[in-house]
Amino acid sequence: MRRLNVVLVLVACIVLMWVLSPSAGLRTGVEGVAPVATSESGTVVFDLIDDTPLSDIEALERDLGIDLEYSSDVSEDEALLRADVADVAAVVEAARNNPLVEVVEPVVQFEAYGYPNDPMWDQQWNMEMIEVPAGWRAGGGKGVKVAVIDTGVTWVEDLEGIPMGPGKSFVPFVKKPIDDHGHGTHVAGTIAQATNNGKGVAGVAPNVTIMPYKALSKYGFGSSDWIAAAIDHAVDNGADVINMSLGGPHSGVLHNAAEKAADAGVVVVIAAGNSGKKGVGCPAHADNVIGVSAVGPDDSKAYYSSWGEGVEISAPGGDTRKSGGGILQDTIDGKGSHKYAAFQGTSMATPHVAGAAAVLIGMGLDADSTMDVLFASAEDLGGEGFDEVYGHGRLDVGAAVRRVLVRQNGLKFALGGLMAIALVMLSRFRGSQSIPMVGAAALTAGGLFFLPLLPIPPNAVVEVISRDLLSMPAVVVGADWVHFPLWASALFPAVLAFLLGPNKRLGPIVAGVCVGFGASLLYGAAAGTLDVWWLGLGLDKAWLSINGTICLLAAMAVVGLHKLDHAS
Amino acid sequence: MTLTGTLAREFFGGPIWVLRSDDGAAYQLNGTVPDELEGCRVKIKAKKAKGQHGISMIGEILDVSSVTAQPV
Repeated sequence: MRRLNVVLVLVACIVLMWVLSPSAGLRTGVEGVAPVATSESGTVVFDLIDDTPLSDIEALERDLGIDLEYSSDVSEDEALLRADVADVAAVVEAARNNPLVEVVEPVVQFEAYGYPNDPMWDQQWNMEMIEVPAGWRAGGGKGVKVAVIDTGVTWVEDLEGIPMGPGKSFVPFVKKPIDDHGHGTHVAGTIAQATNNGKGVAGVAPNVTIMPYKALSKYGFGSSDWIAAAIDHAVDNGADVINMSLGGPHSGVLHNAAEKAADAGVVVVIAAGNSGKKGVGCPAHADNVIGVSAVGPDDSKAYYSSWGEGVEISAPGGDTRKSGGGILQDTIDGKGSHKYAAFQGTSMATPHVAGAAAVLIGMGLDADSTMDVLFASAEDLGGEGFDEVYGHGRLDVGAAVRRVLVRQNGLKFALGGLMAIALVMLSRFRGSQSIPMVGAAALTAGGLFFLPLLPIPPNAVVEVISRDLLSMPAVVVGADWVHFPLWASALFPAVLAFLLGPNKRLGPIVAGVCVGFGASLLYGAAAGTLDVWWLGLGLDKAWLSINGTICLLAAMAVVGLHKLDHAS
Repeated sequence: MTLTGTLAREFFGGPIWVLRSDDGAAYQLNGTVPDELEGCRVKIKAKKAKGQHGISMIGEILDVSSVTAQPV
């Protein structure tokens, strides 16, 4: 009875986690159906008693003053019918008490769950090309600050909920970094457009904070000193990534500012230029920054893209000469009203890279590692290896995320396994019990981490089983779920240990799961890769450390039980 | 400076005027350019906009003082 209560409490906790999760409506790779609205067409569906004779149906039609028809040519046996009526509520009410009627209701429209549910997602070929959803599942750049140095950013409807600031205007006589052109807002949208919000379009890293800077006037120009001042301000205010979809002739001031930002540990991403010729603009040619060339929808160099020394990577920049070939984001028109507009240019390619960098930084990487992973995972285009047109290749967010996950989960796999071995040695556990325990610990901590390295096409099953148990919910039910304090805790392993720990066969595996889960929590605390909701100011690290330790204690308790059994 | 070439309207984050000069260079034009001259051969008087960077990145930015149509 006590165990039943524990199970009920566990189920309640899981339901609570699901309800409180901010991404409760977010599904990944799960198809289903959902009612979206009561029909307003005036159609009513009748489920009558099976095999209702035609004469009774005709009598019902007369009573209600409607014209019924079978819902399909196989609905006669089930007596499922429909009728278009003038007053849906009145007909439903009148029919409800008729003895022939089992169910009567207004027709309900269903549609397949889409992910994301942004209605214009299917026009964003660019996001599919670089496999952006893999980045969302990896946190979407949560907690990362991306400075957009541009014409400013206006908070249009599809930037709803995206945190902004701090920012600043460096254009004389313009007090706030609000966009009066449309370019900066479009760029910010590619980075962080609100995603899966049922509106407009999606962005690469929708969980970042945008730092809006206005260094270009409403005409799209700006002085080198305005831009350099914006770079300095962004660095001083904690930007992790700087996006500059701008360029021009060489400027020592601008060149130095960009290099200093990169040296300070900021990932600086800059457009190569739109001359269509060899020769990269300033400041994209600065050292240690990421110069970005553009590809069109056909995944080859866009006709306008500059190329040459300084190009490190390429990304979708669009081609508006082709139908549907532009990069579609929410922005403003000349009158300041919001509109969804398709632009082209290396300006548009650059924020894809900035967003991808934010995703990787959100996974715990520093600036140098972020750049290494972006370059190493890029899809090689053109001549084999690095070239001056595509740099290291075309940005591939999916490959970049998988590369990081393999590395992180491999580490956790080893950590879980080693901790289990240490526990076995300390407790002098029997060999036949230690092998399943160590295996369970390693698999719980790191999953089959090596699977993405095999020549298997990326798919949901591989994505789930190639990661630690702690982060599996990120794939199954939504990226944010892993941050729920009761999940990122010792609760699950402790309950498991309590319920199944004493079992002779399962006990060693349960002990291994406890060790593995603890290893994941401790890794998250040590590497800073896991933050916990509602616990800021370092409290999340303490929470993870304490709970990781409790997991290990739970494992030791299970091991102790089995040793006692063995001794007796 | 005086340049001759073909005037084009291009779109990079918004419409811009571009002069593709006879020597093969592209210049972004800042200033008033008559719409009816799009696609025409023109002569422009302009000076380089020093220290200016922008979103179009198509070539040097010129502050235009006059644009006149030229015979083809």
